[in-house]
Amino acid sequence: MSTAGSLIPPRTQQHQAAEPAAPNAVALARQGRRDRLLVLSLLLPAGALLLALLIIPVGWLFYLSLIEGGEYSLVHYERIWTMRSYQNILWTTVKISVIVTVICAVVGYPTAYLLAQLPGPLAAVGLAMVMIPFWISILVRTYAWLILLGARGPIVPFLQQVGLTDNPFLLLYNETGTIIGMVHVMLPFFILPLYANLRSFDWNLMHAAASMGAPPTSAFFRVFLPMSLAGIWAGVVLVFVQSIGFYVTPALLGGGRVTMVSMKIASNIQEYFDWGAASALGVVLLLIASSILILAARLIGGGQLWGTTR
Amino acid sequence: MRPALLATTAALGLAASLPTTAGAETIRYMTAGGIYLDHITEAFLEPIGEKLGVTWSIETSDNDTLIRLEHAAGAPTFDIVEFGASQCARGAADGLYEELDFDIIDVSDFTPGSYSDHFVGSTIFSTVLGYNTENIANPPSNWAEFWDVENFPGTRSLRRTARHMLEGALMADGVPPEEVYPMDLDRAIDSLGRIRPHVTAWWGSGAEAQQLVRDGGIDLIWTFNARLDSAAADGAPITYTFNQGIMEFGCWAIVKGTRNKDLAMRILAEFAKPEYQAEMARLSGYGAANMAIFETGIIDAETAATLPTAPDNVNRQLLLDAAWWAENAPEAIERFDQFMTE
Repeated sequence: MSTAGSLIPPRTQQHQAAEPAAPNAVALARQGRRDRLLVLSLLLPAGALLLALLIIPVGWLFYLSLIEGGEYSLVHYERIWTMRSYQNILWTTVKISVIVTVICAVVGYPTAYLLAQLPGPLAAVGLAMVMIPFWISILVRTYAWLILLGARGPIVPFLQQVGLTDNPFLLLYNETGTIIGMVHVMLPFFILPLYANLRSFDWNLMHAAASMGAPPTSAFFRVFLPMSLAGIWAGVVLVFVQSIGFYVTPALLGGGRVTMVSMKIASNIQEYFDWGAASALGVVLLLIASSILILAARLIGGGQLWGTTR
Repeated sequence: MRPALLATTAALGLAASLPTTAGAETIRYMTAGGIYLDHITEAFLEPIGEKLGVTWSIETSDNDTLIRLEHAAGAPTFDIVEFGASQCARGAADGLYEELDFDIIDVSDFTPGSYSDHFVGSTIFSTVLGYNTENIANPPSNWAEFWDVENFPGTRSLRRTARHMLEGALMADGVPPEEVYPMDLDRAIDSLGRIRPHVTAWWGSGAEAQQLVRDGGIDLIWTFNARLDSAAADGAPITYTFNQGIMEFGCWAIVKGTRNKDLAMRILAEFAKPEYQAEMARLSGYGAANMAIFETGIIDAETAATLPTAPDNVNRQLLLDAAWWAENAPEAIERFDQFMTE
């Protein structure tokens, strides 16, 4: 009956519509057209929103990145490609984002694993502990780290006292401080999708593995871990893609020694009013983020990544 | 009472929600935020708003991006802006601002270099050498000594911008203050390269600098004088010298295409008057472009001596050359940014 393509799930009657000379063929066709129209009109507001807020601006971004002095030019990309300072910024951005993602995975997985097994009330308390920092302004948290990691904070003087370091600025005004601050911000983005994934895990499978003679570690690595891959990837993508766009945390905790792409974009706009240069960097960020999404979708299947199938 | 109330409400950013009062023009004004805005409001906006029957609609920003965007779109919404000198000069060169009428605005007592055809100076701040009085027994007293890490030990911080740092780097390398402009960028960057290994943190905003000297473990810093005053007022063992400080003035300009050009001109004439500028200096600790503030009787001798523009201080400092920056900012900033990421 419905021929609205992929927009409407196929129904069992579909093949009947194709039969010639069915007595109600005309009515069915009219019904089909009405369905299609209805679906399209229901999609219209969302489509218009996407067009106005995403497609046109991103198209505009691409366009601006190809314009210099009113003419088409690749000069903005050439600059990124040839200048060492731009390459350093891109390399720093990717490196820090990868490190932050890995740390979030290593710290976040056991946390989500534990949360998923806790009984309801305890799990709620645990989740609240993950969520509460998530609700506090990034700026406030970053300033808190300035104090905690600083030369007069509690951590570094202790390390100095026990003789582990003689550098009062071990944890601040460098990549280490930046990474610590970013992990703190990003951790919930790793834990929450993974938790949702683990929560739906059927623990009977572990019992089944045990009954087949698998020791706990082997059951974990061969049954549990593979089934949680989709959750891990969702977390990895969320954390990495957001990390490459970080601004406040590296600007404050990096002490001017850490320049990430978004900081360069800001200075391109605020100091030079150079939309072309800023847009080209924006496009590069977009490409990096998209390639990670595509890679993740390839590795685990798009449906699992977007959460449309389990 | 009523206009004052209106001005205050406007200053709080609520102007849009107020009904338009007959005869009261609303002036859209862009300036820096925070405590600076509080002082500007008290010293200038409230009394002048009352005098001229003007209400204020205020946006805060430390850069002119929005003004440039509106200019490019041909739809200016602001009337008056206040930025740093080099921004005003660049903006003027790019045609963002109206030419000023100096028959109305009196700049006869202004510091030379603190006004041009398109802008007039507001406050004058200085990047000065501050040091921790508990940790530093023998403080450096100029840029060259700040660069001399062997004879003047201590943790160091500099600003993360080309402005002021390039000037300072040249003086550290032995360039006399009067020969700093036009700046030799290669020499300045080389000089910065020598101090870089010894700089613990490059601060971005005044708030960061204040935090660094208060509880960030920094002993020696070049930063804004009012921020050091503020840190000292918080109880931090901090003091500073104006020696080889680099002064930069804030500046007012009238946005090209405003419908309120004549009124804006009259407002700038008020802004330039010594009594308002003196009140601002008294409140904020910044100097003023109008040197006649010292004759108004508003500032006591003790406060006067702490201002960057006090006669004893002003001669020991360098005034940022807004015209040089207007012309060379893109290249100078790009070179500095590259230096910071290499």
